[in-house]
Amino acid sequence: MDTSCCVLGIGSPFGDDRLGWVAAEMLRGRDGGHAVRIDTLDRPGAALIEAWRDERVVILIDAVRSGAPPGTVHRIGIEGLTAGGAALSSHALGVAGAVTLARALAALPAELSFYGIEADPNWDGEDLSPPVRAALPALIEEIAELTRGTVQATPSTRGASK
Amino acid sequence: MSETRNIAIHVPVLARVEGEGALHLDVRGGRIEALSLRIFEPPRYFEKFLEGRDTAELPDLVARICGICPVAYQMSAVHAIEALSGIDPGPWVRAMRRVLYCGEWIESHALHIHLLAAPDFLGYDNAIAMAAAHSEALRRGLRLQALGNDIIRLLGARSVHPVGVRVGGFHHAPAPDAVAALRARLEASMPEAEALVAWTAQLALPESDQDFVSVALRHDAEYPMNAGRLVSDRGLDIDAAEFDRHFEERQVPHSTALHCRLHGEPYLVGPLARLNLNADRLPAATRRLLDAAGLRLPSRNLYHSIVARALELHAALVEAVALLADYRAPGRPCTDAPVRAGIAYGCTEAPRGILWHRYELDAGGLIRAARIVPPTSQNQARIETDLRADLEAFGLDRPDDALRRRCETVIRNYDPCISCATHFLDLRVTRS
Repeated sequence: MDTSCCVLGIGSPFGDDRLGWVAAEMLRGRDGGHAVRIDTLDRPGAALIEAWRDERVVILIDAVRSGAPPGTVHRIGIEGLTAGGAALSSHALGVAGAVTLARALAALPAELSFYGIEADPNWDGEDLSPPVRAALPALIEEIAELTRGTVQATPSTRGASK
Repeated sequence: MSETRNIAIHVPVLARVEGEGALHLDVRGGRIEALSLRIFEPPRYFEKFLEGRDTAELPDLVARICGICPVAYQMSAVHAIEALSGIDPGPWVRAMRRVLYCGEWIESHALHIHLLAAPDFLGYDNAIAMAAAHSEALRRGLRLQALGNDIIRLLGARSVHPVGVRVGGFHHAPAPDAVAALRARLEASMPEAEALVAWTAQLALPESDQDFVSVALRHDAEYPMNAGRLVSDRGLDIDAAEFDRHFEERQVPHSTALHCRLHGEPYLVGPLARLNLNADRLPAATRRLLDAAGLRLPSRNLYHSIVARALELHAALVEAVALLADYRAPGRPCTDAPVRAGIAYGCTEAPRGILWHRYELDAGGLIRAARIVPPTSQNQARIETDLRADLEAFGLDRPDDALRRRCETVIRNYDPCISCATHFLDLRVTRS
């Protein structure tokens, strides 16, 4: 049985969209790169499906824009990540589009959860905005706890991050 | 059905990451009165952003122009600067650049064939609708796309807007064990690429017979990517520096992207144009697949573009495997390029066709002016010509929905950056 767990931080180099990358680095620091595969991806689109191939438990981290106050933490289960077929295109395919395509292909992991922090739409700094940075430690703690529980429940035979 | 039915099809398109476009079609009395592929994305001023920048910054800046083909922008830029500088970065850099470009062709072509074009030819609204019946084909597409992305990661550190390229070579040479591991995966994927060619060849593609000019690079020995002369099937044979003497960019009222014409006429760039002009430069294994596919070249059917893409994907895989054999990391992965004032020209083959760059540099190595002619702008006039011919052959008396689907299929077949936007079509039909 595949007992693997991975964390995929999704983002791009600047501003609040760095969130997924920064979170992945912080988790790597805590995990030591031993039990959980931690990877960073740059707007993967449909490539997300290949990125989680063979993984049983997948945790996605990405910045969110929903209109909520900046710094709001979003926790979305697999059922909440759905996009209509109209959202499927080469450049604009987001996480929800990839999940929808994966569902249609029966290529979803057994467990998939999404963690995000609401980005500040007015922030134009190179690094994370203050509200996102402030919300980050608690989120990292929560995800670290989750991965620890997952790994303890199903001891992984996998190595470090690829 | 009626000869006098008047149709006005307006296809407004949502804003998206890479482009905003629309199609307007007016049919009166059974004839096309007006047809325009509108690109109304606001100008991005990239050429202006480059002014005053050092050439050392150029590869990272131009990579930002496109998330699907950043390598192409980097390649045209560094080749331009190096040509002016007069340096030759040597065989290792040349080979690794070709590998990097192979990665981009593989990911871009895999994405377009499976997720964008295939639903059109199989009768689905999109890839999600196609997934139940063609799951394995789509999974293959995703695997090949990931493989292409991993090649770009190997040399560019990340697959979107890679950062490994510099004028004179690379910032970093990959470790031999990483190269060996990836090469093994590339070799193992060869049967998938072979199956892909056969799969595209058996698709029920529409018939089309059009007279068009193919333009591509042509190299003495290789299928063109980074090097070669600019040629056409009508006798053009020029250096990239002579582009302006033959090609003319002009503004049209309905597009913020300049239309580009060759001797005043529309022309085709991209996979089918490359294949029409360079089939004899394909690797032997790919040529055998071409023969088996029964594609007769030169092809005048634009719908053969999907087969051309599959053949090019296979060729890129073959090339990458060959180029990464006996890999050794060099002492230094780059050569210094002395600064020279003057005009720099570069032209390489992006997945969608030739990408031409021109830079004016001052004695301090700063960019005084930049011009970039991307493939999608070059294909715009050809797409409009194709739409007219294709719709008239298809039959203007067809229902509006069938006409709309056909228009989208024609446009997407060119894999323009706006092709993904056409998946967002919100059609409004009015009759007069």
